Amino acid sequence: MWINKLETFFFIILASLCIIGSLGAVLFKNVMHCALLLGCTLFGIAGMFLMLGGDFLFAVQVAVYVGGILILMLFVVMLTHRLYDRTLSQTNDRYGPAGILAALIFLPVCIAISKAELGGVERVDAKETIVNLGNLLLTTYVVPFEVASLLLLGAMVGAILFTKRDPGQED
Amino acid sequence: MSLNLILMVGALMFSLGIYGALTRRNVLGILISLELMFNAAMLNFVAFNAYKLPHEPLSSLHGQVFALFIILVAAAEAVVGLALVLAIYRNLKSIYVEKLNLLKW
Repeated sequence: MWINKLETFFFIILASLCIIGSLGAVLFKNVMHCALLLGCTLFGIAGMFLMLGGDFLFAVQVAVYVGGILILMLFVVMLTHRLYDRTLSQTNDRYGPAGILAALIFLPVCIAISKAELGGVERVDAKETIVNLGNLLLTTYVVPFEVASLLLLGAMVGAILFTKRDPGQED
Repeated sequence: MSLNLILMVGALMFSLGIYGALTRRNVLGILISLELMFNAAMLNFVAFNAYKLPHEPLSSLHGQVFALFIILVAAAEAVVGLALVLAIYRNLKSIYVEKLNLLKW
């Protein structure tokens, strides 16, 4: 069926966007390039959400992650970057243990996923996602929702406190 | 396109994030790797939400609600983390983690 082929085509594009972006974000030397490649990964994930029936999550991912967190990160990279940082090594010397640990996490999960009996599962297309999300957030998840608002308030106050300068302080 | 492939992408992104968080010297690089791990977890939640077994009732959107909460926590974490990075940079003139050893003796 042509629609399945189209879906596979878009999946390959989005998955390679995610994987190439995350490889670059982890391995590149310049932190600016890392942050931009993280944005590439975020767009790939947003496309995956759209493909998996999460249209509202797609909008939230693009608006909050790409438009908020990534821009904030780019600002901080530019504020703290110095020219001689480019000549310094950005990684420590523990490639070996870190690589072994990452492989120890990835390989068992990979084997378990490929052996899992997922043949019976089928796609369900979510309808009226925004209505259902709103209902869930205000009925089942109302307590986490309120706690989340407190968390955001605390994060905002904390960020202002951390970045505020003392009145007499120079620099 | 099957569920296995999406889960595989998520697992690969998560282990790349762990590798990056363990090998970076730069605090910003560690934060970027953390965001990668958050995104891998979110992808898994949404993927599991989109598939179901045939005999199960029609699934609701619980996985997407969890992904929303993860985005929220990631936003709060990024704001506080980046404010801390700026404060550290102002005091120590460096954002490399081996310089942050004031509590070490």
